[in-house]
Amino acid sequence: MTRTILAVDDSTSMRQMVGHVLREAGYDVIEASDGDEALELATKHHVDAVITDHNMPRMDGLSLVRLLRAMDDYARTPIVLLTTESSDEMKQRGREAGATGWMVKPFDPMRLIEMCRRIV
Amino acid sequence: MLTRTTDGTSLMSSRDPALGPKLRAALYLVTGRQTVGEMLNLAGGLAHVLEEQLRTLLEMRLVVVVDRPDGASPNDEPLPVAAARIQLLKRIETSGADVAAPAARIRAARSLAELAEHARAAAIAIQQALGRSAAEEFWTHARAILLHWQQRDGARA
Repeated sequence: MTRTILAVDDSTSMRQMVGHVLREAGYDVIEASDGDEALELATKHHVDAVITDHNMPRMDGLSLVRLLRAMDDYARTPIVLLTTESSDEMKQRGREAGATGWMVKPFDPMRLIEMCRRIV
Repeated sequence: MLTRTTDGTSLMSSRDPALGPKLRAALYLVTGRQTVGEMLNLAGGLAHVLEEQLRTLLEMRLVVVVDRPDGASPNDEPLPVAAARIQLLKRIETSGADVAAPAARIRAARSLAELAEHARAAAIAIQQALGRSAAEEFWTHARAILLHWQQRDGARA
């Protein structure tokens, strides 16, 4: 069964890049441009994993992680933050929010696929 | 605390498009384990939007108010007070000032009037810690928060 990944980023090009890499790897990908839209899509579709940017308008990635974790359906779904933020403090905040993993941009497509295969 | 009704659970499970995406997302958040204040806290800057959605879900009878398992009754607290408290505490956090005492009094406040009083005290404490500019910035935001929720509270009454 094809797994569905929700890719969240306010940058269209980044979203398309993540989507292209993951589709080539055999995943279904749905895309959201911020946390608010991601929440809507996550409750509309069944999503097996979420890959999200942090710095986005309206709702940032950490808030999205916290809200998803509060939902029964997403309490254990893998959520990876894909962001330019790389400080230990931010990673710690990500863990506290409930993120499964952290990946720094610019990302290596092969590493992204490997991570998805590991967690999904 | 809120919990889903049978109709709410049914609509959520079927991912019924009739509900609309934003209300459906709000319905997913109602698990019966978190207080309204905790949910609004999670929503951060979108707390006022979530509050409106929860109110709509209540009116649609897709969620209902229940007592907390520990016997406390947070439902006695109006949503504007809970939301204003969260936003004020976030503003204090954003200021970077270590003003534990006023923050604790804001946490304990039970009305918008009490929140206003303690927010003013927080502004003075921020001025002492970080200077006038930081205090004025905090107070500008605090006043806007309090006025916003006061107007909403008044409109509801």
